[in-house]
Amino acid sequence: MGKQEGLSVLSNAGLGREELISALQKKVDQETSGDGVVIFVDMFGTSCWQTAKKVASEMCGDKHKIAVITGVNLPMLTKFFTWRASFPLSQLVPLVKQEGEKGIRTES
Amino acid sequence: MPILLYRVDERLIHGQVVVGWGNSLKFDRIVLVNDQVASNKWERDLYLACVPPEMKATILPVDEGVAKILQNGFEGERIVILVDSPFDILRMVEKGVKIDSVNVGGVHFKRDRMKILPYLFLSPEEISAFKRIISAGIKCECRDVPLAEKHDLSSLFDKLSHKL
Repeated sequence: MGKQEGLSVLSNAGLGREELISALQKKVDQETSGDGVVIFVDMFGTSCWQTAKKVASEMCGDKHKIAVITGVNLPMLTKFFTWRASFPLSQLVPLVKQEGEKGIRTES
Repeated sequence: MPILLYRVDERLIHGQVVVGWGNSLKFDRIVLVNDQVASNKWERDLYLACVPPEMKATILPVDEGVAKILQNGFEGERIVILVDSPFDILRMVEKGVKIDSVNVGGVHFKRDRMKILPYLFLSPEEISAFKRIISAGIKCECRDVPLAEKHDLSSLFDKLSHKL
């Protein structure tokens, strides 16, 4: 797909609770274009998820719409980048979730 | 109630505790002892959401946590006590809780904290709190996840004594 604009990556490695929150707040603040911000997290219930949920609840408002999605996988990301210009956040998030679920298969 | 572990971990209930220590110790209940979390419904719900269905969790302020431990509450369950700082361990000890050893998990980078291990950064106040815990005869063992190497905090302090 090539390099994507409006994409930030953040690791929790070595960051304390407050440092992680302020690092994520900065990233969200930088993303001012478009309809809002989607925070992709690998695993539900982790420190990353707690941070995302906290930042979303504190910063969500007139300036930002923020959604948090866990269980991130590549199908989710590719669909997100393909569709994000075409759908508002409220429709994009369920579509991305559906793609992520469809991307998990077993073969035997 | 067998208390399997007293853990200091700034992230409180998260993956390392639930998945890592959960699988290794097979505990039934996490008792999160923290005044701030206990007093805030939003934070309580946030941490309780991180507990998998096969595990139970209770969130108590320090005084109530101490009372519960001293009354031998949670009869028949295997318990992990979770706090986010050495200060709360000291408060528990001062209120009469008998602790043999403390597992020191993640306390991460922050200004004024010095690096002790990749997952352990401590401020001068935290270092002196841990030193008081150690001089009360409590072993402080650093280990973020069960299969990681153990480090005795007292020996680490000795090695770093020129900087402390």
